[in-house]
Formats: sequence, C-alpha cells, structure tokens
Amino acid sequence: MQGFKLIFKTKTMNIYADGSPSISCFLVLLLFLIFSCEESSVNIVNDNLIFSGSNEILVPGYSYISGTGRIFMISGDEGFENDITDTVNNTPVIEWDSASVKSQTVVAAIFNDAIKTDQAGIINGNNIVWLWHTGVPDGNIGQVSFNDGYSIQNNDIENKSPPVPLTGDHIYYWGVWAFDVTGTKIISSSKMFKFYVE
Amino acid sequence: MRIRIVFITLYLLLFILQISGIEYPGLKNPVYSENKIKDTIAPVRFSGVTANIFNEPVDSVKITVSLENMTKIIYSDNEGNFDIEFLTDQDYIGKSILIKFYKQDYKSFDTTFAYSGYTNLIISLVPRYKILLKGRIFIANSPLEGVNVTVSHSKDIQHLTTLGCYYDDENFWNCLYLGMFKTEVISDNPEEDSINLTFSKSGFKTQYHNLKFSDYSGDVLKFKMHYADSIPCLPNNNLALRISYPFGKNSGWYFNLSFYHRLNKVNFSRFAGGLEFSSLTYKKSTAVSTLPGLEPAYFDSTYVSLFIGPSALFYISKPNTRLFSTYIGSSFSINLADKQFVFQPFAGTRFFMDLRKSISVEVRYINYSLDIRNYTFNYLGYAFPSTKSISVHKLLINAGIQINF
Repeated sequence: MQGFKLIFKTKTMNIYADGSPSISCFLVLLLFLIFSCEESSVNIVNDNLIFSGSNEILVPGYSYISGTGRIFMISGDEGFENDITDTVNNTPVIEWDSASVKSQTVVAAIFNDAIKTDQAGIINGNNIVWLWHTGVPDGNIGQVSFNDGYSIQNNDIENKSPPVPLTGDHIYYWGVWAFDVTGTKIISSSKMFKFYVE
Repeated sequence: MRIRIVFITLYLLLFILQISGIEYPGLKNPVYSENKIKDTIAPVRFSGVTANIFNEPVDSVKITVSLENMTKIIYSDNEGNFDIEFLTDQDYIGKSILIKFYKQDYKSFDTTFAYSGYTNLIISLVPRYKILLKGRIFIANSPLEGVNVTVSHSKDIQHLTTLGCYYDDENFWNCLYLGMFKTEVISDNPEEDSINLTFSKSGFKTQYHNLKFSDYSGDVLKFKMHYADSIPCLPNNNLALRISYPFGKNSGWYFNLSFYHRLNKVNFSRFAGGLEFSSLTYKKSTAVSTLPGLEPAYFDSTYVSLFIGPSALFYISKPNTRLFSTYIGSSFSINLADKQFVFQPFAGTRFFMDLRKSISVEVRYINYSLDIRNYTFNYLGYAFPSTKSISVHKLLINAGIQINF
C-alpha cells in the first residue's frame, strides 16, 4: 500500500483576531441549502393499459356461474395478449386482482364501444352502460357482480339507475381504474378487455 | 650686550642638560616626578571573585567602586573574577571605599570598607526568586490573540501581547501558542510580593488580576475575557440569513437573505438600507369530493412564494450595542409570482456573539395574494385543475444570523 502524507493547512480560511470565520463559509452553506432539494420521478409507460402512464391492475383469468347455472370463462390478461373475445351472459361478473390495486377509489365500467382516452382521461364516457365504484355499498374491490353496479345517464355519475342487462349479440368493452389518495390522478388501470354478450 | 650674551649661553646650557637627562637640582621634570611617586605610594588596587551562595561563579556582575570623588565601573569576567586599580598620587590607606554589586538575577549587594592596601574580596551574592509566568487568555472557549498584557511587579512593568498562530519552520500553520503570553518575573520577597496583571483589547472589558508571587505553581494560567458592552468599530455592512420555523396551521418555512448598508453620516448612522430576498412556503390542504358515497379526499400542496426588493431599517437603540440592539423597518418587495408589491414590516433585535457575528430575532408581518390550485374530481380520469386566489396573512417570528463586514 502506497503511503501518503496528509497535510492540513488552514491558509485559505481567514481567521480574524476575534476568532470569527470568513464569510465564504457562510455563502457555501447557503448555496448548499438552496440547491440541495431536487425532486425526481420515474414513469413507466405501458401502452396496453387504459391509462398508459399508470400501474397495471392485473386481471387473471376467472370463471363465474350465471343465474341459470351456466359457467362463463373470462380469459383476462391472457386473453388480451391472444386477442380472445370471451362470451358472457348479459349480466357478467367483473373480477380483477385486488392486490394489484393500492387505492380505495376504484371504478369499473362496461362500455358499448372501445374505450378512448386522451391525456386528461376517458373521452367517451357517454358509452358507459354499466358502472361500479368503491362508493357503492355493494360489491368488493376485486369482485363485482353485475347487479352491484348501476347504469348512468348523460355521463353523470350522480344520475344513476338500476343496471340494465346488456344487450345480446353485442361486443362490450370493460376496464378498471383507480385513483390516488388525493382523487386527482389515475395511479392504476387495467387493460381494455372485451367480451361478446350472447 | 654682554649680559644678554651671558643669559643666552646659560639658557642654551640648561636646554642641553634637560634634553640629555642629566639630573640637575632645581629643574622641574614631570617624568622624574611620577617615577618618584611610584616608588613611594602604591596604587589603590583590589581584586576578588563574585559567586553565589552555592559557590558558583557569577559572571557579568556590574561592580561600581567609589573612592572619594573617583568612581569606576567594571564587570566580572566569565569566572567571576574582577580587578580594580586606581592610579593616584595620594595615599588612600584608611580611606573608605564604597563598592556595589548588581545583577538582575541576584539581590543587590553593597558594602563600604576602609582601604588597607591590596585586598582580595570574595563576594557571595544571594539569588533573587524568579518565575516564568505563563498564561493563556480565552474568549469563551477560544484562545484570544492580540490581547495587551501588562505585568506589574514592584516597580517593573512589562508590556506583552498574546501570541497568534504562525507558520513554523516546516511551513505548518501552528496555533500551539495561540492566546498565550509568558514573561520572567523576579522577586526579592516572594512571600509578600504580588504580581498585577492587566488584560486589555479593543472590544473587550479590561480585566485585572492579582496573584501572590509565591502562589504561582508554574502552570499556564487561564484567563477569560469578556466582551465590552458595545462594538468599538461596527462595520457598516451586514449580510443576514433568517429562518422561520413553520408553527401553526398552514404555516410554512420562511427564508430571508438580506444585505444592509448602514449610513456613514453622523446624524443618520441609525439608518440602513438594503436589499432583501425572501421566500415563504405555504402549505394548503384542499378537499376534493370524489366518488359518491366516499369521504372527500385531500391533497396537500406547498406553494413557494419569492419576494425581492429594497428595504429600509432604523435602529431604535444604538446599532453598536452589543446586546439587544433593536430595530424596525420594512421591505418593499415584489412578489415574483404576480409582480405585486408586498410590504413586509418588521421589528427585531440582535445580539452579538463576537465582534462580527450576531443573532437576530425578528417579528415580521407579510400579506400577499397567492394562487392556489383546486381540483374537480373526474371519475373518467385526471381531475380538472383550477386556480383560486387567496389572501395570505402571516405574522412570522424568525431567527437569523448576521455577519457584519
């Protein structure tokens, strides 16, 4: 190990007769305080999600039994990857992985047309035919039956009515999204899924 | 004419006799007279040795010998020997001789004796008590250089200055003796003699200390100076940083950086003008009604407002008062967000920690308009932002540090 010599010199630090340090120390400290605060954030963009800049709400494949005793299969994220259109009855059950949602403000909706978004959010809210959210007393985060939700008119969330069964022989689109704790930003969303109502 | 020739011949004869050295009765010859005295009267002469009570020779002793109206001063050599001789044509046998011995480190000794011919003296000098007085002067816990130290003892007064740092032989910055002084003090009576110390420095209270000579143990004495009640040469400029802690609801941090220049005129020396830069953070929690059936959500925002502008200040008490120099003033700054003028009246006081740095405590009122964000919940995506202007009133208590230069 190579030796080294450490020499301390306070030549540059002026010490007055009364022991006060130089003003340069004060200015350096001040600049440090001003420029030491820096904010950084990392956004991961996933274009497959309804809100591309949000975290993903996972939708594993699941099945449910209709009132008539039939079993319907929803392929979830795997069906999205393989472009599978599931066939369901007119009162489908919506499920997602509740563990992938870190919010208490969650909305699930069925659209009668493909979900369209821009930077502010969903722009075709008038295509919503069924809606559920965490303010509704029925249903749980992660599993909602059709009757837990309701229908809305004029894109007004306050103007709700009992859910109307979906029209047969029609393709519907659905998704789930969640807000941050302040209710101002979307932090999580699922992919846009579609199913065919027989 | 004959008589004149006879006198000239006689004169020449006498001249020849004189230069030939032939004795001739009645002829006055100075060489002849001195040799005659030498043969008849011995010179006054004595010698001796100066030693201390431990029989060690003492050199360089100043010896003053007085014999009637004659005085001689000599110094003993390296081995303490001295030798004195008076050449005189008189007989001094039985006459008194005053002899004095003096050396700084020894008690003075003088004696008178009757001369009785050649004498060899053995002088035993009693050493005086000597201490190396060492001290260090502090202000708080920092050694203080440049303090004028006066050490008074008997009639001796020594003026010293405490040492500062320096570059040593190896070019290292050496502060080993910072604030120290040392001096040698000699006493004849250590049990009763006292040493008076006086410390003085501009900007500090003069300190007086006494100690008994015999009480000094040889340690480095420590003394503390205290600042004077006023700053002797208060600089006209000061740079200050003030911070206010966010007490209370909606309160934020307040930072203020200011530069002031005090007027140099006699009648306006209490006025100062300067420039202030300040920033105030304002924390606001806003409720957002989200989904029907859910409690409102809240988002907290912190707003930073920046102000810059000129400022004026008046010292109610003398600005160079060391403790509690009180002042009032106001800044006339511009809010950089909306370009509106904002008054920040303030009143404060400061106290100096040393001759340059001071701590200030200040009460400041600030009133300005602030645009805060509001949001309207959008269940289909991001909330719709909006802006709302509110009036902010703040009474701030801030503390800061000032550097005067």
